[in-house]
Amino acid sequence: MDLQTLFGIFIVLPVLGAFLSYSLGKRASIVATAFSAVPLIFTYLRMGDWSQYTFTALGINMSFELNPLNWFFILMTSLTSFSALLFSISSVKERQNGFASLMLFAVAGANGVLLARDFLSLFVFWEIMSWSIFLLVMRASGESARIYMIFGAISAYFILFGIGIVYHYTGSFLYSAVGGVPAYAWKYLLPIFIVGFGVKMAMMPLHIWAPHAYSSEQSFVAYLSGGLSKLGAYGIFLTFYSFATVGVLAGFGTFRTVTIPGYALALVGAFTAFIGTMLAIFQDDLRKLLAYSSIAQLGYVLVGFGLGTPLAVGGALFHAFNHALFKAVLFLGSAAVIYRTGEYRISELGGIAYRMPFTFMAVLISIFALAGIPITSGFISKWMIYEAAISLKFVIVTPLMLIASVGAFLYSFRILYGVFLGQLHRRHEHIKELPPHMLAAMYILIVPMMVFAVAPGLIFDWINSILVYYGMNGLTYTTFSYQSSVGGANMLVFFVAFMAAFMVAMGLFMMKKARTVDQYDNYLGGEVRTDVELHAAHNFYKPLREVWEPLLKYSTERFYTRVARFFAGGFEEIKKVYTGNPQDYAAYAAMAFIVFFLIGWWLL
Amino acid sequence: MIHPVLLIAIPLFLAFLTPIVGIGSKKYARYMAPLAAGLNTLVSIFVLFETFNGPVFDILSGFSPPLGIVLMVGPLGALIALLISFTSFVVSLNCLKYPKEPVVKYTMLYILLMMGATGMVITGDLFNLFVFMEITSIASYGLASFNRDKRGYLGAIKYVVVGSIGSTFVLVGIGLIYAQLRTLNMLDISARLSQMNSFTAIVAFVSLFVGLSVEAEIFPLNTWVPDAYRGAPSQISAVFASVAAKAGIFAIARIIFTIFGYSNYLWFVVILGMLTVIIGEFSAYVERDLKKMLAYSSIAQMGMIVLGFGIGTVLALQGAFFQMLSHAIAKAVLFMAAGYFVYRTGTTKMESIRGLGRNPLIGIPLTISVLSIMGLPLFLGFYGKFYIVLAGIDAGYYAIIALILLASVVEVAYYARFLKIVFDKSAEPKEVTPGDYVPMMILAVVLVIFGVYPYPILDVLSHVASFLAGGV
Repeated sequence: MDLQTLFGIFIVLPVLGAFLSYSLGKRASIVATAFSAVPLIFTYLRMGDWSQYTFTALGINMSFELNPLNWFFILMTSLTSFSALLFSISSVKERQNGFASLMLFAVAGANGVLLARDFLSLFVFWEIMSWSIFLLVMRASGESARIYMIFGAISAYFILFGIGIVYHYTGSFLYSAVGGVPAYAWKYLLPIFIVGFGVKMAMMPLHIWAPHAYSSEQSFVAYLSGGLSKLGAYGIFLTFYSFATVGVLAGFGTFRTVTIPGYALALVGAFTAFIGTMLAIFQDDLRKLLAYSSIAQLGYVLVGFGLGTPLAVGGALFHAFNHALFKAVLFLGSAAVIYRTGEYRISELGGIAYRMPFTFMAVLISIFALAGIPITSGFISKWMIYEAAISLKFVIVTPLMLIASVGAFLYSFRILYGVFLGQLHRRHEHIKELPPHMLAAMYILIVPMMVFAVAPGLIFDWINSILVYYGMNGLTYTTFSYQSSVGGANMLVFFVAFMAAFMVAMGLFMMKKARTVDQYDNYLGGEVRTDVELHAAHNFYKPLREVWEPLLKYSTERFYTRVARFFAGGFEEIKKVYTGNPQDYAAYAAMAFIVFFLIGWWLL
Repeated sequence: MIHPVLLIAIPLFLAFLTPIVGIGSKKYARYMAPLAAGLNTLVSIFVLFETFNGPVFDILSGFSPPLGIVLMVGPLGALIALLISFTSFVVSLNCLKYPKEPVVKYTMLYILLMMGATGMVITGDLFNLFVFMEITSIASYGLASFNRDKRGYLGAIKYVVVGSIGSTFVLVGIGLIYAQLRTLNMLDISARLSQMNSFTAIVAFVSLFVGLSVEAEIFPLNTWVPDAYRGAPSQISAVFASVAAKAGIFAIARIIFTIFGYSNYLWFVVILGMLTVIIGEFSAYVERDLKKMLAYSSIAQMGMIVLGFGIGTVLALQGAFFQMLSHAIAKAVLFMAAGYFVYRTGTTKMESIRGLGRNPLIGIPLTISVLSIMGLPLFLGFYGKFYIVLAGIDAGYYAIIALILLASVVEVAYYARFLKIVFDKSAEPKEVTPGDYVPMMILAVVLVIFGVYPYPILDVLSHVASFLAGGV
C-alpha cells in the first residue's frame, strides 16, 4: 500500500465525505455511512500490509504507519463509526447533515491519531477529534459540551506539554526518537502522558465529563464510547510499551515483577472499575448507567495494561475490542429505546422486549458479554485479566475487579428488567420494532462478538502479532482456547456444555403446560384492576444504596464544582485590578514605568 | 515597483476626500472606507511580494537616510500591513450595515485609524512612528466615543488618559535618543547604539516600551481596554483588537529586536506576557458582559503574542506572528457577531444573547473563530498557540508554560460557555442580513484556508530569523 492510499482512505476520504454530507441535508447520514464503510472494508482487507510513510501536510512533517496495533484499533473504531452512522440514518432527525459531517471529522481525527508515528500529527488529529466531539455533544446540550471541552483541553494540554518535553530533550517529534529522553525526565513525562490520554478513556478521577457527554445523541455516543474512548487506551499502551518501554518502567522499581508505574496504573484501573460500577448501579438514567459502565469497563483495560504480562495486555486489548462492540450495541439499544419511546429513565420504561424483540436479543447478547458470562467474548477477555492478576497474587486489584464484575450483573439486570422485561406501559403499547437498517447496525457488531466467543483464536492471532511487534512474549492459544499458568479456558467445551444445558432447560420449558395471560389480566380482591403498577423499577437496589450511603455522599463532580467556584472567586479578585478609575490607571502606568525601568537597570 | 508610501498616501487622500464627497452625497461617503482599505489591501499584497527579495526602503522627500524620513518594510511588516488593511476592509463592509452618524466623520476617522496603524508598521523612522501612533490613538479616541452614550464617553476618557501617558513616554524616549545620537532612523540608532550612554539608553528603551505597551495591551498598561471596547461601536472594537493592537505589538517587536536588541530583557517580557495572559483570561472567565469578555480575551491573546516575542526563538516568533494573524481575524469575527447581537437585543449582557447564533450563517463563522481562538487544528489559531507553547518548553520556561496552559483551559471554559449560550435551544433562530454574515464568512474562510494550508504564511515567516537578528 502506498502513502496516497493510506492517507487518502483514512483521512482525506472522511473529510471529503464530511463536506459532501454537509451539503446533502436530510440524506447526509446515508452518504456518511458509505464514506465510513470504505475505511472499514479497506482496513479489514489490508491486515498485514504494514508500512511507514513520511510526508508534509498542514505545515508539518507527518509520519504515518500502519502496524498491528493501530490496525487493530482502526478496525475497532471504523466498525463502531460505521454502525453508528448506519443507525443514525433514521435516529437523528434534527440537522442530520451537521451530525454526519462532524462524525466524519471525528473519524478522520481518530484515524489520524491512530496512524500517526510522530507527536505533531498525533496532537493535530487528537485536537480535530476533540473539537468534533465537542460540537457533536453541543447538539444535545451546551453545558455537557462545555464540561467535555474543559476536560478535552486538559487532556490536550497535558499531551502538548509532554510533547514539548520530548522535543526539548530530543529535538524531534518522531516516536522513534523518544528513546533519547533521559530516564530522569520520565518521572514527569509518564504521569503527564497518562493523565493526557487517561482523560479520554475517563480514568478516575478525570471521568466526570463522561456521564455528561454520554447523555447526548446516543447513536453518536455509541461511537464515542465504543470507538473514540479507545484512543485513550491506545495512547496509554503507546506510552507504556512504545515510548517508555519496559526498561524505563522497571527503572522506577518493581513490585512482584510488575513495574511500579504499571502497578499504580493497575490500581487506578481497579478503582475506576469498582467505583464506576458502583455508580452505574444507582443510575435511573439509562444513558448515565451505560456511561458509568463504560468508565468501569475501561478500568479493566487499564488494569491489563498496568499488569504488563502478555496475558494481561492481551486480555486488555481483547477487552477493549469487546467493549467497543458490546458497548456500541448497548448505546444503540438505548438509542433505539429513546427513538421509539422518547424516554430514557429506566423507571418509566418496561416491557419493551415484547414490542422490540430483535433489539432485545442484541442488547441481551451484549449484556452477557458486558457481565462476562461464559460463552461470550466478554468472559474470555475479563478472565484473562483476572488470571493475570491472580497469578501475580494481587490482593487489592483482583478483589476490586471481581466485585466490580458482580456489580456489572446488578446494573445489567436493571437494563434487562427495567427497560426490556417487566410490565409494558400502556403508553408504549403501540411502539414498533426498529426498521431493518437500524437492526443491521446492531447485528453487524453482534456477529464478531459471537465469533470471538466461540473461536477466540481468531482475535488472538491479531493480538499476538501486536504483542510480538512490541517485543512481548506471545500468548499460548489454539483456535478455541488459550492456556495460562492458572488454567486458561476452552471455549469449545464451554460452548458444548452451554448448548447442552440450554437444550435441557429449553426442553423443560417447553414441557411445562402454562396459560399465557395478558399482563393486565389481574385480579385484586376479586376486582379487575387496570391501573396496577407491576413494574418495580423505582428506587431499585434501595438496601444496597442505604449501605453505600456514607460513601455516595462524596462526589468527584461536586469536588470539581467547588474547585471551579473557588477559582472563580479568585478570578473575581484578580479582575478588580481593572478598577474602572482613570486615576488608578494613570498610577499603574507610572508604577509600570518604575518597575520596568528598575528591571531594565538591573538586567542591562 | 509599487511604493510602500502608497499605503499611507491613498488612505490619507481618501480620508480627506471623504468630506468633499460627503457634501454631495452622504451615502457615497460611507463607501470611502471599504475603498481605501481595499486599495490598501491590494497595495500591501504587492509590497509583500516585493519584500521577498529583501527589505524595501522608500525614501521620502528626497533626503537620503539617515537624515530624511524613510519607510522600511520587511516581509513581516508587509504581512502585518496586509493583515491590517485586509481586516479593516472586511470590518468596513460590516460598518456599511451599521452606519453611525455623522457618517462623514466616522468614515474619516476609520480610514485615519487604519492609515495610522499601517504607518506604524511600515515606518523606518522613530519620530514618524510617534506621529502615526498619535494619529492612530486620536482616531481611536474619537471612534471609541462614537456611540455618544455614557459608556462610550467613559471608555474613551480612560483610553485618552492612559493613551496620552503612553504617548508622552514614547516622546520622552525618542527625545532621549535624539539628544544623544542626533538621529531618528531606526537602523541608524541600532547601528550606533553603543555610542549612547548606557543608562540613557535603558531609560529610552523602557520609555518606548511602556509607551507602546498601551496600544499593545500589555499588562498593566491595558487597563483602558475593557471599558473602551465595551463603549465603542462593535465594529470599532473589532478594529481596535485586530488593527490598532497589532500595530502596537509590531512596533514593540521592532523596538526590542530591530533597534535595541536587548536580549537580556526578554525574560521580563515573558513574565509580562504571562501576567497579561493570566489576568486577561481569568478576568474574562468571570465577566458577564459579552463585549468586555471579548476585550479581556483580546488582552489575553495579546499576552500570548508578547510571550512569543519574549521567548525570542525563531519558533516562538513564528508562533507570535501566527497568533497575531489568527487573533486579528478571529476576534474581528467575534466582535462583528457581538455587533449583530447588540443590534438584535440592544444589550451586551451574556444572558440576553441566548440562541442568537442558531442561524448557521452566523453560527458557523462564529464557531470557527471560537475554535480558532481555542487553538484547535484546521484553523489558523492552532499554529500560534502550538508554536509558542512548544518554543516555551524548548526554551525551558516550564512553569510559565504550565500556567499559560492552565489559563488556556480557563479560556476554553468561558468560550465554551459563550457557545453554549449562543446556541441555546430555547430561542428560535433569527434572520440575518448579508451585511452581517458576509464579512464574518470571509474571515472564517480565511481562518480555515490558512489553517489547512499555512505554507504561504510559513514562507513569509521564514524571514523571522533575520528579524530576530536585528533585521527589518
